[in-house]
Amino acid sequence: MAKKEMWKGNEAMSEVALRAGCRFFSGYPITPQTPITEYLAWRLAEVDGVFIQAESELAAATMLLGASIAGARALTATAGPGLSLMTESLSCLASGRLPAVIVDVQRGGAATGNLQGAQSDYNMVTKTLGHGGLKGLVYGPSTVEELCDIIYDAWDKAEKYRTPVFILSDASLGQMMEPVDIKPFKQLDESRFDLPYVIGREESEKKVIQDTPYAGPYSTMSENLDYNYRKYNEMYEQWKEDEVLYEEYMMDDAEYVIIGWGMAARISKSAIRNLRKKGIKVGMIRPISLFPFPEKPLNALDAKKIKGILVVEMAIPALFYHDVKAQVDKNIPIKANLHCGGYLSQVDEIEEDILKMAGGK
Amino acid sequence: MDVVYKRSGALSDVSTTYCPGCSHGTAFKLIAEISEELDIVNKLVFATPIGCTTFSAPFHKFSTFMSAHGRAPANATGFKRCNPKRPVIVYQGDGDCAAIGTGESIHAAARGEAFTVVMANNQVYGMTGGQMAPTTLTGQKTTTTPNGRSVEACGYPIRMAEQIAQLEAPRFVTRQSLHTPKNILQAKAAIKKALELQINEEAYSFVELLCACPTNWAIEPSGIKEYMEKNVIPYFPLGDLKG
Repeated sequence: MAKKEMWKGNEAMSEVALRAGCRFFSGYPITPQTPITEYLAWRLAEVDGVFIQAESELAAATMLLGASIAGARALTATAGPGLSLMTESLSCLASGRLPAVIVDVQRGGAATGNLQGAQSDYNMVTKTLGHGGLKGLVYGPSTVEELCDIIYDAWDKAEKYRTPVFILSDASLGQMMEPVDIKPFKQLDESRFDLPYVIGREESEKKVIQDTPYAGPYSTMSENLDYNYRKYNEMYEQWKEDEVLYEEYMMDDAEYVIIGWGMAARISKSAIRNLRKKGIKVGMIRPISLFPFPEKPLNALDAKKIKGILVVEMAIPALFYHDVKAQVDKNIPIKANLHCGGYLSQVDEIEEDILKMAGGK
Repeated sequence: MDVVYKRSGALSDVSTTYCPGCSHGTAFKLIAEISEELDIVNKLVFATPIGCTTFSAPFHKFSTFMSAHGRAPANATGFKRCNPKRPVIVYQGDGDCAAIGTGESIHAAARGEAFTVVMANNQVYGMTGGQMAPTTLTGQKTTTTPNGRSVEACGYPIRMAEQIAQLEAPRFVTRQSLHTPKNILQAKAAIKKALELQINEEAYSFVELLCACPTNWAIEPSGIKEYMEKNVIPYFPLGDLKG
């Protein structure tokens, strides 16, 4: 087993991205994402990669399209208002089926908001990438190691499906230091420059790369878009079979289930360990892929066995909670423990909520 | 008998769908001829904007990529940095280049990205049916300035080439026109020079082309020359601004 090293989340993720073959980064400084931009500014230069400090997140995300069309593994990262500006390009990436990776180091609140961790961008990227209702793979890691694991494979997934891959980190995960396995460099094949969405290096037969799939078997744009987006949707449905990731924690004998993702789930684990010491049989289901959403393990929760569900989420109004509620048996009581704006989930409050459920109150 | 003129082999057999008197077809013809003269037909990459040239890919033989409205210089930046051997023309309208994409235009120029921007300035939004552009002349009637563009409400039209020319990195900045055969030949020489600077010296260049949109100017195509000389060129003077 590789020796683990202590790394901060933002830097670890950046180094592992580079080792996964990322050779293009465009970004705009915004707290708490800035350490990614700063790290890749010097690090990409060492491997003959391209680093661009863009004039805005609008431009930063647009540059990904061009880098992807040139065959590069491309990354951008942002937070808060920067994500709003990037949504135009997210839509273009999803519609043009251009692989790229986008990291949102989530911060609190809407608008200018706050700088601490939050999970309030959940709906904005799991429901649709920008305008038009299309999707990408979306992941919500809860440790620095998991963040690294996900980004290490992110371009393989992005290229396999020709899709943007979106990673929802947050201010806490980005700045905390944990032991991680900084992985070996992946060797990329030159055949990537012949991929259908890539305009080759020296010269080529004419290729037309469109951000909208106008081409198809029909004579009108609307018929072809209907046809092509229907195929995209078949792929999204297949992801539910092939790309779902989740963790079950102490679920074997669980009577109460905490459901959360990312940092909220990580904090909830401490509460679960404390509650177990008090004899409360509590476990957790933690979605890691947020799209596709892990529906099956939630559908499987048995109302005869499970006495209550607590959704822990760092978003007000609740976002993820509604996705959970839609998948679980209506006969199981369900509650939400919510904070937002940079106010992290609290272990004692989570314990209290479960104890109230267990006490029948 | 010697062939003295023929349709460029870099144009496809598909006829353009532009209105009578529109200059886009002329601009494409020039780019096609230049690409043959420089032997780059299979190398040149054409970055399209949103506007009347969004769906121009069928008219020529160049590899093409689309961009969102105004973003072509950012998209082309990502492409060219990762694929430096392919010459790139970013072809934009005035709305794309000087309104919604002003930030991308100025910063790509400021960085000196190794591509050539051709901005078609016809003083109006053509694709959406004749609304005010950042270049619409004072007093000019459009569907969103029905009484004529007023300085009080809309300020003054933007001279984009002058904006670009004051930056350090651009090597060659010029404004040309496509309203007479003489001007068309001068415009061709300018685009060729810009492409040669890109290929040989990795230089950024900006070629503004004064184009006609008789449909949205509400004039006959036969009146273009007079309209341009009387109204357009006095505000947008022709010639090289840099290089």
